[in-house]
Amino acid sequence: MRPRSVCRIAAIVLGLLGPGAGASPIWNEADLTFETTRWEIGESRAEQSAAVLSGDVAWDERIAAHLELRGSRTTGSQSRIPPGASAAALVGWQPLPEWRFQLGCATPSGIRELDAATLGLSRRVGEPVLALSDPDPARGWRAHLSALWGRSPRRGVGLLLGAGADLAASFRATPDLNLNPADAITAHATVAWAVSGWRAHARLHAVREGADRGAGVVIRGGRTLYGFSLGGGLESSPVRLAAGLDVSRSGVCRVPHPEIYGLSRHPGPGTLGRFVLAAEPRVAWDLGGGLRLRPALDVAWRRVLPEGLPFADGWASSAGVRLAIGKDGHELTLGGIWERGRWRAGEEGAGRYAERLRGWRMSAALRWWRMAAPASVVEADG
Amino acid sequence: MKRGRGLCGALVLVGAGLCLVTPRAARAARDSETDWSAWVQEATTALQVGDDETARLAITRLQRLRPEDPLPAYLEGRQLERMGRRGEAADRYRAVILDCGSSLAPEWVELLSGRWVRAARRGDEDWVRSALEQETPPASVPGRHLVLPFEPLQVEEATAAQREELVALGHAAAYWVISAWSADSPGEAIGLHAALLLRQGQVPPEPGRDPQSETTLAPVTTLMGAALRLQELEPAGPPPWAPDAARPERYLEPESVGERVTAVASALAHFQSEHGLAPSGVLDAATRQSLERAYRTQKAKRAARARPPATADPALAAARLAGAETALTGTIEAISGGDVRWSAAWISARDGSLLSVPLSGLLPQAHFAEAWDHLVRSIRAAAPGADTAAPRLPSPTREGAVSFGRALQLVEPGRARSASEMFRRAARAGAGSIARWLADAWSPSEDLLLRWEEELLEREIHGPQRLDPAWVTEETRFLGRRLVDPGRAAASLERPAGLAFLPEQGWLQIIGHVE
Repeated sequence: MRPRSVCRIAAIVLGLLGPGAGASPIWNEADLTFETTRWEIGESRAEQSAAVLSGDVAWDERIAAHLELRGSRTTGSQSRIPPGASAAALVGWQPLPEWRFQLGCATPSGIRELDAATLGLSRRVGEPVLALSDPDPARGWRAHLSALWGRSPRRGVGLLLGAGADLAASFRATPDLNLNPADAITAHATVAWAVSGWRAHARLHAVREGADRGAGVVIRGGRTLYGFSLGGGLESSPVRLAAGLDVSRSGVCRVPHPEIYGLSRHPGPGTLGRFVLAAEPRVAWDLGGGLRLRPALDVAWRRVLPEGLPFADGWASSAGVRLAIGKDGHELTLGGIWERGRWRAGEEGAGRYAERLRGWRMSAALRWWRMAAPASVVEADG
Repeated sequence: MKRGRGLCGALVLVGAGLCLVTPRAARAARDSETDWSAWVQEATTALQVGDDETARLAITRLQRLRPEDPLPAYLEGRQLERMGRRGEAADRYRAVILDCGSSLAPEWVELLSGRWVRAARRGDEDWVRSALEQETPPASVPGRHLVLPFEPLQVEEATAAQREELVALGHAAAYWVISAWSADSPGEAIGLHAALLLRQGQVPPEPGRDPQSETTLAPVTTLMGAALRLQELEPAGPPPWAPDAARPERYLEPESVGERVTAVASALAHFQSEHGLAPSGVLDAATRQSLERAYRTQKAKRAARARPPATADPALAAARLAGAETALTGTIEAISGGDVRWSAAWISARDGSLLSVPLSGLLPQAHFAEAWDHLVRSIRAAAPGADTAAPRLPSPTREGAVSFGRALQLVEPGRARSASEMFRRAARAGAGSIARWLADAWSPSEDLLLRWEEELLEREIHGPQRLDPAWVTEETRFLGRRLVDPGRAAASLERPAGLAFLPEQGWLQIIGHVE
């Protein structure tokens, strides 16, 4: 089944959901996020502005969807990738409490037929060290199918197992080349805890990626990725904390002729480590009219050890502040983050160079969510 | 041909029969399931609000629906505990474990064992309390024996560690002698915990129980009852919707009670947010349970009640208070070479006169287990009226017996967790399966037992535990990250598209192979 077919099915499912489910949709959350990131990489620069409009809607307890419009514009020192936008929908169906099935689809971004300069820029903004919100601006139709099974053996503990497939359709990456990105199969197992204000999870996942093909020719062989992540959060009276640690490791990737990519051997395995910490002190300034201003602090650190993968070997650390102004289910968040780092690119020996990374990102997000206000009925429910 | 037609006809009939029978059977099973859930809900709610009559009716229905299920007997035990008949409750829990045996699910064994030892202990305390409150001692009951721990003889040369070891051995010896009276043998020996309480003439305060307030306080199911409890409880911090406000002294200010329903709803939402519940402000079953538990815990901390110690000769006074016919006095001392000598005699509880020839023996290091067995059997055989042999009991190693005795000492002041660890150590040192069982039974805290109970009842009422929707959302979003969150996918070295491997130079020339 190709992505376009899956998308057609998803569209039909979405179209039929309202009348079919016999219930009107209830919007639970809507977000509009705008983020601009600018990186100075040695003497050059890369800049990306991305906007995301998303919403969560539910028809009843069993059917819900996440809808998203995403657009971005990427600019380099010498070149510019034209603006592109795509729409995506993820529809979840939970027929039983333990099972959830998901069907999703995304349209092409509209960015195609890149030239050598924009292709190079596209590759550069995809570097994991930079952590841009739209690391792959050029893309075709994509589809997603997955199933999740979960069980709570005792209160506050959850075991979740999931498997999914991501399908990608070919698109004209260059004027002469139809690029068919790899399909991927993901499996994961997660254990989650939630005990009196604490939340934590530990997740193991594996991804099997197929081969990337250009004009029917394998230009990158398949590979397997393994990942482990730990996350936790604390809701206490003085501070709300959220922390996460991710470690991903890639398997060896077979490239038909590594030398033509400037590589001396088959690339991989590579490792990526990421740590993020967000702290929100429970202090707020009353601005009048019910509006409250709350500060928050974000810290992140990333390290990529590509070991031959065509990514840069580097690290980046960032720190920033967020200010949230809001009341009763509406919130505007403004954030600024300063980032520093360093990377080395190229093979050992000749051609290897190191560059200093300096950057910042500014974000503005408008969020609305449906509030579950305390009920006024305070009687026994029997 | 005819045979084929007949076969088809038979298949059609069987199919039609199945169509008719299966839905009916399924419906009956479903109705039974519904009934079961409804009656469990009914019994649980009735127990919470103290409606004993409805609870009894619901439990009877449950017993009829599933005679083999441990739940009705468990609920019966809980009701008896609530009514203050803790000794009977302990008997119920014990009966379920012994009757159902290996067919019980592990979580039921854990819960029932934990309840059993605690109810038995509190049942002993109730019994001793009523014995201490009587103005005149009861008449002695023929065949009832009081066994106190063997007293260590004071030897000047003994170190503190040796004395502690002797005390522990004395406790373990008394426990084994008491255990030598099995259910089917004539006579009875009073439990060690009751014996110790009788000797000290004092009963600890009942945890989490304040009869005066319980009789006057409105039930937690009513708005007033919830409000009065919220007025007593201290929050951990400010409400989640006013995070910068100062922490209030109570969830609900006293003047708010009975004035504004919304004030109580806000206080309830505040309480719920700090106790792991959705802050809805609704007084649902989970909130009622949590509120009542928090209130009881707080009251227990404030309660303190104790009786003055008895002034008479402790051992004889204890035996008379218990209505025992005889008492065992025993001593234990360390002798050279690390061996231990013991002496014991049965005396009359009435006047302290000897009723049997004094016994003595050695517990040598080398053959401790055999000597221990001899101690138990000879004392049991010398008991007045003993006409049956002692049942076969496990013979511990010396280290096992000492650890077991130490665990018994730790149970007395209520240090259940430490006692459990010591029982486990005793089991590892060869004190037998009883040590392992006691370790498991004392291991969970009261709060943990309550949580297990909630989980089991919740499962009986609503089916298996439901997943937290936040987890499901997070995991489905993780699976779909390539579609709706490409930045997140890239952060784990995944590339949704294959541009990474297109060469920057000479990108128009693709050299590869067709798979």
